[in-house]
Amino acid sequence: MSANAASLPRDLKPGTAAKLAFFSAIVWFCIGTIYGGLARIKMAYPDFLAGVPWLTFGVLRPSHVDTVILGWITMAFAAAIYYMTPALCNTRLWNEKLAVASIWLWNLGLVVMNATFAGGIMTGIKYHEWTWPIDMYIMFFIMVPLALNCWMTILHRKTKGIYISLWFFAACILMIAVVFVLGSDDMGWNGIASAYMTWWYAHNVLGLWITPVSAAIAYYTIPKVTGNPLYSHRIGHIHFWSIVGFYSTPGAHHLMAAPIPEWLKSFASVSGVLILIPALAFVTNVLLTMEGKWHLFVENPAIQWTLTGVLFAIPLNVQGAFQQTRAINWYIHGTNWIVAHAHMALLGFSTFVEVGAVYYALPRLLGKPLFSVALARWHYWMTAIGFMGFWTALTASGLIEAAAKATNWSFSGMLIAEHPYMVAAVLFGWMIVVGQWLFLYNMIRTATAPVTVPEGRKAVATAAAG
Amino acid sequence: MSGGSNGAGMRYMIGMLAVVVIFATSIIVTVALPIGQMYTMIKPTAQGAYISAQLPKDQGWVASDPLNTGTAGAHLVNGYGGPTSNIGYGKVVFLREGCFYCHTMMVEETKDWYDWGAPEPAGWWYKGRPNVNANERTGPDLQHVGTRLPSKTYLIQHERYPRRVVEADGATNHWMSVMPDFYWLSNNDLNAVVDFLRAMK
Ligand code: HEM
Ligand code: HEM
Repeated sequence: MSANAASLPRDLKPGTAAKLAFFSAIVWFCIGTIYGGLARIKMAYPDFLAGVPWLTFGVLRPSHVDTVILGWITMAFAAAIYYMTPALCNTRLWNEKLAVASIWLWNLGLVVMNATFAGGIMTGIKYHEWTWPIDMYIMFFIMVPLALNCWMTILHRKTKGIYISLWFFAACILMIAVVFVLGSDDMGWNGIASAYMTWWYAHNVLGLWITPVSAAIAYYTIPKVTGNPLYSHRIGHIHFWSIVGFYSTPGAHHLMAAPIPEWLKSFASVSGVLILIPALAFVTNVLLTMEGKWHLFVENPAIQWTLTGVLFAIPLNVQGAFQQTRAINWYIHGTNWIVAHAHMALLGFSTFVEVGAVYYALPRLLGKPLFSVALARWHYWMTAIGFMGFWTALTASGLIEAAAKATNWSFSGMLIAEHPYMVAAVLFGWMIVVGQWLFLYNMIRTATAPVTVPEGRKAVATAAAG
Repeated sequence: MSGGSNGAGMRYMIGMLAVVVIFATSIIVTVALPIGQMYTMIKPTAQGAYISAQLPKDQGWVASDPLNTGTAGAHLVNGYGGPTSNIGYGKVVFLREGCFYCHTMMVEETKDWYDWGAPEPAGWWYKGRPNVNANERTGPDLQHVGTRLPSKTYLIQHERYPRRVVEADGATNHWMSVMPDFYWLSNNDLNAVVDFLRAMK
């Protein structure tokens, strides 16, 4: 392997792909939340931008959701995988060039995807609105390179064991590829099966990709920054195997009021409670790893973000487990309550963990200190307060919608009642949006800052450069 | 396999194999079994049979219809403005404009029937694809809209300027609908989407 690496003098500098992916992800984060922000304004003021065909709610919504999932979360995952896998394997990435090419193609693909949405070219399948050519594109230019790089780096590792994060990376890429194929429109599912497979797919994107890979990232960041070893590998393995075992099963809990087989709904609502096992194992493991280092929660941005995300996972999963029981689901299904849950998941839990990884890894990749810790604090509080306000407003309006649904109240009366909350969601939502611009600015300034070498290390730096 | 000892390499392979086996089991239980049941046991209702005859080919973006024109089954759906039926193209417009993000087409098995009509058995969606059902209900359910609102004139007016049509109520009338105007839709598109809605009985 070392001979192999030496024979590749023209290979890119290690870390190039991770750096590029982190930056691209942040840019898509900004774009994706702007889409969401515009859609939010339309929910409160429907005449806003009315009559512009490529900015209707029906375009903004898929652009928002698919951009934040594919452009921000998944690309930040790729960045983390490209950064953490070689670090944990004590070797270099299997093929840096392939990774860099894949990230550029990925960026191009996101532009094309959003352009097709603006032109109204969509499948009509939630979370999978992109059309089949883009399916192929994602498969061959994004998933395959990512999988090859991850698996081959693990195979060529110079360490003995395999750290828990690597198990997650390797297994989740495999499972998400299968989910992606089975859930795509090209499979031709029809009738009620099409609704079921939409949710089987969407549920597994959340459960076999977003949730476990976020957790794997936290398993890396927290021990690294605190210097504590992971509290328990055994709990980590319980977490891992229960994700593989249970998380793919309750897809039907998104369709509790639909005419799908009854046994399937009961099965989903029981197996859905079982996914509290990985969720709690994860939270326990991370919080116990913090032992003795809790001061870092307020001192270190990477820990601050990651831990906040982990803490949001507690209400998220408890909420999830309750809302999927039939007794509760019929009440809040289809309301903004679910949209609030979705943002607690992807913004409160997952995004906070990834931002933590960015604050940890990007300055290290760039070899420079963070440009401004004050800006990082502003970023944190704007996102955290913005999110909590956003969640509260959506949950409240969801309860209004639910009450209207349960009491057969008039639809327009309900709209009037929830309007103040829709306005609140706009204000808090834009706090989040603007917070991400600070994030991008901070990271650009970090990257472009001149390298300042402390006196004592100058000799080392010149030697390294020469 | 440089680096890690053979034992650790074996563990990696065995671990990944276990993942594959467990996940495959889950796919059998949560995909193969229920999908098999759905395909074999569901019989079309009268409405399901009618609609699936109107939409002989899967509508929306499919391999045979790369420009999303909805003409994949044009010989039967008969294009827009044609003498028989517009509803295939109407479904394409419904998808293209993202109407389904706010309007479910699935009356829930709850107190829904009071407002939106009876919940339907699975045969209602017979062979429909994609089945035009997201989960949010920002606007009313549309599964039985053709029964509830049969007037074509009303629907066309409403699709153009929903916020002026929904029953006004004095001072608060401004907030009677959050549905955006679609006045820029062509007459063909409007006609088609309204025919599609009117067929949703
Ligand atoms: C990283 C940040 C974010 C992520 C990962 C995210 C993710 C999502 C997801 C998954 C959905 C679909 C929810 C569902 O169908 O139940 C959604 C919907 C939505 N999001 Fe976000 N979101 C983020 C930030 C924002 C922000 C900052 C805003 C507003 C300022 C926003 C506004 C919306 C709106 C308006 C919808 C549509 C809800 C509906 O259809 O009723 N999102 N988002
Ligand atoms: C014990 C854990 C969890 C359970 C039992 C659970 C359960 C549910 C249920 C039943 C729904 C659908 C509600 C409805 O439409 O009526 C839902 C929606 C959702 N969940 Fe969870 N959840 C859990 C954790 C998570 C996690 C960890 C994530 C992601 C990181 C997540 C992301 C979402 C999203 C994005 C939606 C919105 C789907 C949509 O309607 O567009 N959930 N959850």
